[in-house]
Amino acid sequence: MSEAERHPPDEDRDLVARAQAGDTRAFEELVRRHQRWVFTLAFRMVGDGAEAEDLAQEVFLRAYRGLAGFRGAARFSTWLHSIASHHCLTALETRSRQPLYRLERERPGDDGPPPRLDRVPNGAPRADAVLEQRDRARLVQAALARLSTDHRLIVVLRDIQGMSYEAIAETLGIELGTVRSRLHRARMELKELLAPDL
Amino acid sequence: MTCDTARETFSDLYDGRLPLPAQEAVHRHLQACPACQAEWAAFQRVVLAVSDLGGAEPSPGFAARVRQQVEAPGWWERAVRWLFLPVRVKMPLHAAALLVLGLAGLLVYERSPELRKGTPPPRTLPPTAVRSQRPAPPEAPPPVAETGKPEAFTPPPLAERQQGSTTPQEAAPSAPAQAPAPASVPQGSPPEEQARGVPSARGKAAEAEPAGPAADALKRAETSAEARRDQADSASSAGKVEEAPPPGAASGAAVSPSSPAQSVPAPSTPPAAQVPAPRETSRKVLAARTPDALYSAALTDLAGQRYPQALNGFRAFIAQYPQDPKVPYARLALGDAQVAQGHPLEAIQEYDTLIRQFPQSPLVPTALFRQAQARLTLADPSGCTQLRDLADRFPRVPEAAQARDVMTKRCP
Repeated sequence: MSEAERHPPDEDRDLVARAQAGDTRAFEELVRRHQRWVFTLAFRMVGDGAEAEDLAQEVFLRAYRGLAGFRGAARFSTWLHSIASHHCLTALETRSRQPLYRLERERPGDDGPPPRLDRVPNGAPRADAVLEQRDRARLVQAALARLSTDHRLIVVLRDIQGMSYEAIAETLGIELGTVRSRLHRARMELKELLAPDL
Repeated sequence: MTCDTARETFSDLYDGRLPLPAQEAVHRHLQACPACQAEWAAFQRVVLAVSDLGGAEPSPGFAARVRQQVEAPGWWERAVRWLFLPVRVKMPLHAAALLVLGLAGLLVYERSPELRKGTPPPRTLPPTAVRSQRPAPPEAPPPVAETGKPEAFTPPPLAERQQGSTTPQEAAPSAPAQAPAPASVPQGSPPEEQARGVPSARGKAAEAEPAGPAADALKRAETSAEARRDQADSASSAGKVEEAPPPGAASGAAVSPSSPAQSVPAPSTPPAAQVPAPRETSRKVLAARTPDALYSAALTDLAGQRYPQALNGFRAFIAQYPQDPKVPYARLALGDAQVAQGHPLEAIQEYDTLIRQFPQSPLVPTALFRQAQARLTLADPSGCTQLRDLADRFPRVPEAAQARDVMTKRCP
């Protein structure tokens, strides 16, 4: 179930109207409703909690500043998701303000290559399922980080946020066919990266 | 249905977006083709693993913090309040303060003949006009640093330093109290230059715009250096443009032959051997006062395949900020730039420095691999040994797989 479905548009609309009138508590409530979606997107895009929180905060500030121009033609959630998606893309690109020399296999801040599940530690299989799950998550996150920002975004929107193809197309302002082909390429790329370890 | 066609449908098949006949066709193919069956299973596993990542929550109090941010006035709002509000009090105060300051400045100017005498020529004059108005110097005027009162035509040592600031070899000898830079200093590595020479003077001039004579001389030096470069750009043939003019010729372009520039000791390094970095790079490097700016400029040069400039930039970065966490990356980039220039020997040295200085860095396998490749380029058999060693020491990194691959192709 998508975020928009969980929060019916009429409910958001009241809060949006109050926020547009300058009620910051109403906007806080809107943030509370949508923070999980926005933060998840930011976190999966940048892979770092603190940075993701900054990014999510920027998204909401941007939304607040643009609230006066929001006429309600689309649902608030769709509008917000669009802002969040585009802001994440822009932020990741402007990260090259402080670019590190990027390597193919890692991003700055990584502790090193992710562990391979079949070899940690001492080649013995893990008995601890929690740890294994954590390793798996780290492995997948590292693979996500190796995708291009466009591909990463579409995988996050579809496979983590659970958005439909149509909602993705509307959010990103692209054709349905582009969503399909881009998603397919991104998933195949992930398969190449992850299949040997999963 | 071919395997390729079947695999092209995986994403649609997974999301149930394939029409029924196509779905059946794919399933029939999967039943008949074990390879595609395995691929399909892997595809499903991977998509499922991504979905399992799930959502994440920000830290507690996130929404309240956003509200505080929303309620906080913007910086411009704060600035306006601080400067102008309440208008009835602050505006008259500001006007009075400006008036007092202006009057005080005028008073000081009127009562200081030295100040009036030392007023620089108008900045609006183009460099060529300044040159044409420049009288033949009667005697060698004293250097700027000693008198602090430059004459209008003074082509002080600063001018030479400014012009020579493109390479440390040029800059070092012209600095009066400094020994010439050794020839072994790598071209474009500007630690000394940046630390004590032109950039610092330029930096201060740019930031504070001091009205002192030294700053004034520096400005004129910049103007004349610009003019010389412009002349060279427009007049000279292709091969000559990038060459540094010899000291005498350099003075001659902007200064008359008997100008005091010649009274400055000539650089010990032969000018013919000096190849200054292109003008845009030296500007970029000079302008980059923070480690990130310096690093970014070098990275931009590397991406733009301006390898000499990139080398200069990374070396300057390493020399000035040796503790910066990006230094290993800069080292790696130096090696890569050398490879790209077709200098495998130099690249090997750069990689070697990275490996020795940062043995714990995650970049070591990469450096080892690229160093080994550089050795193989030179038909050096130790490249194979190094690849083998890399694969043994770091069996899990992707470079190990690449090393094995290269070994099978190139190592007996």
